[in-house]
Amino acid sequence: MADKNIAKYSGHQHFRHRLVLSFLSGKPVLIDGIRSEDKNPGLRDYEVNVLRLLEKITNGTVIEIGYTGTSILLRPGVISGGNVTHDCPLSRSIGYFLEPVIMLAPFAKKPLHLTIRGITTDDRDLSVDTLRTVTLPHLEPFGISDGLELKIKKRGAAPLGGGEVHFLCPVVKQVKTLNFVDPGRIKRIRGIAHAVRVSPQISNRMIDTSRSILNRFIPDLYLISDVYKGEDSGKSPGYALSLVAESTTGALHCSEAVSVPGGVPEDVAIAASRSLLARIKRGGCVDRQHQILVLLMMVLGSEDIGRCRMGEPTERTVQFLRDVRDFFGTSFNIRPAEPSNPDCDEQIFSCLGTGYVNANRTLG
Amino acid sequence: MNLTTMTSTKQHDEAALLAILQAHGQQFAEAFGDTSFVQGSSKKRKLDPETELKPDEDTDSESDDEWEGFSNDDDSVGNSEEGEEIDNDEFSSETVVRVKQPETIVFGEPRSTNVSGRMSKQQVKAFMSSKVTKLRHDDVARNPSSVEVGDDDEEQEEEERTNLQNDALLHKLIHTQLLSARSSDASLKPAERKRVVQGRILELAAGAKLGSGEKSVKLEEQKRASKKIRLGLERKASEREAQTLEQAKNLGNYHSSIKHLFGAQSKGQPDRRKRDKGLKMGVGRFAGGVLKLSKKDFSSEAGHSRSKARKGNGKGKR
Repeated sequence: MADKNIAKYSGHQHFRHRLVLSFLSGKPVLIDGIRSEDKNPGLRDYEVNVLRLLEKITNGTVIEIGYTGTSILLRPGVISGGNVTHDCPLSRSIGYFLEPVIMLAPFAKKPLHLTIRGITTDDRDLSVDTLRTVTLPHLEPFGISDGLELKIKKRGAAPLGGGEVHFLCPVVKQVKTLNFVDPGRIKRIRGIAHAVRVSPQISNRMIDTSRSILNRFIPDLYLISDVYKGEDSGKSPGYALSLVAESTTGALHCSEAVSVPGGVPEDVAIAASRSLLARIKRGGCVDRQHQILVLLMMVLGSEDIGRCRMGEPTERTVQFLRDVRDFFGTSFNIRPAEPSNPDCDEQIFSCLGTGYVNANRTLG
Repeated sequence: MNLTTMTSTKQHDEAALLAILQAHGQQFAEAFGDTSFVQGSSKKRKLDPETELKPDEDTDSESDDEWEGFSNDDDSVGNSEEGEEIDNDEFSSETVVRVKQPETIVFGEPRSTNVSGRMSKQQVKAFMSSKVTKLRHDDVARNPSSVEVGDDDEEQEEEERTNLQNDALLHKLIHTQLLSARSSDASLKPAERKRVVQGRILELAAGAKLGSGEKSVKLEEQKRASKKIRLGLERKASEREAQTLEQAKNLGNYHSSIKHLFGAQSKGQPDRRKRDKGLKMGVGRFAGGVLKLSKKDFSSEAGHSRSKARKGNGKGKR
C-alpha cells in the first residue's frame, strides 16, 4: 500500500474527472471534505451512482466511503468493459453519467456495450443528441471511431425520465497525437429538434424560428425533426433543440436549449440559436464543454507533442490541468494563438503525450 | 431677434430639410412600385411607408437588417400603438387625421412540415444514424444534384453502389434462404456446424450433388487421417450400413427398388480405383528403367474421350 502515491483532494467539485484520472493512471485517490459544511453532508445520490457505474465497468475496484459519507477512497482496478446495464437516478441526466464512461471506455479490456436508462435531455448536462453528434466525433481524430455508436432507443424528459440509450465503444491500443490548430470557417449547421409527449407541431415551430435566425449566415442549414412516439417517448412531456456547427477543418461547436414548463418553443429556438452564435464567436477548435475530453486524450497520446487551439479554459478545465499534473506529471504549455492580435483570446495548448498504452485489451 | 422669429426661421430651415427627406422617401417608395405615396402631406405620412415597406411578419422573427423607414426609436413589433396621436410633433403645426392600416401578425400558420425535405433521404439517414463514423458523411457532395461530381466519379459511385447492393443481397440470401436450417442450429458443435456450412457451399457451387455436400466434406477430412484411423472409420461405416439394412428388412421397409439407398453407398466423389503410385508419365508405365506401352496406349490419343469403363488408360496393369 503506497501511501505516498495516493492523490488527495477536498471538495465535491471536479469529482468525475478525478475518478477518471485515477482509473487511467492507476493511482488511488482520496477525496474528503465532501460537502462537510452543508445541510445535507456527504455524497449526493448521483455521485454515488457514478461510483456504482464505474465499478460496473471495471474489475477489482475498491471504493471505501467514510462512515459520515464525506470522504471516499478509490483504489482503481482494471477497466474491463463488456456488457453493462445501468439505471440512473432522476436527479441528473444520462449525459452526466456517460461523460466519465466515454473517457474510460476506449481503454477497456473488451469493447463496452452499455445500456443506460434515465433522463436523456435536461438543462444541466449534455443531452444525448449532443453526445452523439459532438462529443463522440471528438474522439475520431484520436483514432477511436470504428464501432463507436450511440443508439437512442427511448427518449425521456425530466422529471420522470424513462429514456434508454445504448453506448458501444471499441477498444484501442493507443491514442493518436492531435495537431489541431486551424479552426477554419463554419461550413454548415445541423440541428435536431425533438419533442416527446407533446404536439409534433412544436418541433416544426422550433425549426422555423431557428431557421429565421440562422438562415442569413449560412446556406447549408438543415434542421431535423425527431419525434418519438408511444412507448419510446418516456414519461414526461418536453422538447428541446440541439444545434451543431461544423467548420471546414472539422471543428465542432454546439448549443442546446430545453423546454421549461410554461415556455414557448420559439423561445427555446431563439435561446439555442443565439447561444450557438455566441459560441461560434468565441472561436477555437474545441468548444468549452469538450475541452476536458480533448485535453485528456492529448495527455494519453503517443510520446509526441500534441497541439490544439482553444478558447479560454473554463474553471473546470484549469482544475483538470492541475490534476493531470498530479496524476501523470504532464504539464501543458499554453501560449496565445495570435500574439500579434490583441483581440484574439484563443490559445494553443500543447503537451508531451505520456504514451499511454492500453495494456488491458484482450488480443484476438 | 426675438424668440418667435428665431423659432420661425428654425422652422423654415427644418421644413426645408424635411422636404428633402420627404422627397427621398418618395423615391425609395417608388422603387418598390409604391405610388401611393402622396406628396405634400403631413410629416406624419412619413411614418406610413414604414408599415408598407416592412415585410409581413408571420412570426416574431428578428428583422434587424430590414430597412424600416426613417423614423422611430421605439420600433415595436406590434406597431399597433404607433400613434394616431403623434400630433404633438413639433415640426408641423397642422394635424392631419390619418387612417393607418392596422398591421396584421399571423401566428402559428401551418408551415410545410417537410423542412428537411431539402436534405436528401440519404443525408438525413447519415446524420441521424447511431454510428459516429457515418455522421459526417452527409456532405453536399454526396447529393446527386451537385454539379461538382464529375462523370467518372458518378460511374464509379454507381458501380460501387451496385456492388454494395449485390453484396448486401448475397449476404441476405445466404443467411435466409441458401443455407440449410441445420446451419443455424445452436445445438451443433462448432466443428459440425462448419462442416454443414461447407457442405452447403459446395452444393451451391456445384461441387457436389444436392444432399451430399456434407458427405464429401467429411470424406475429404477422413482422407487426411492416418491409415489405421481411416480404415477403422470405413469399417465402422460399413458395419453401420449393414445394420440399417438388416433393420429395414426386419421392419419390412425394404424393397428392391430402393436398394440404392441401403446398398454400399457411393462415395460423394468419383471413386479412384487406386491411389496413384509413383510418378506418372503421359502414357504407359515406367518400371525398371523401361517404359511399357500397351496397345491401348497406342490407340489412345488426347482427343479420345475417356470413359470410366476404359481400362488400362495410362497405367494399365495393376
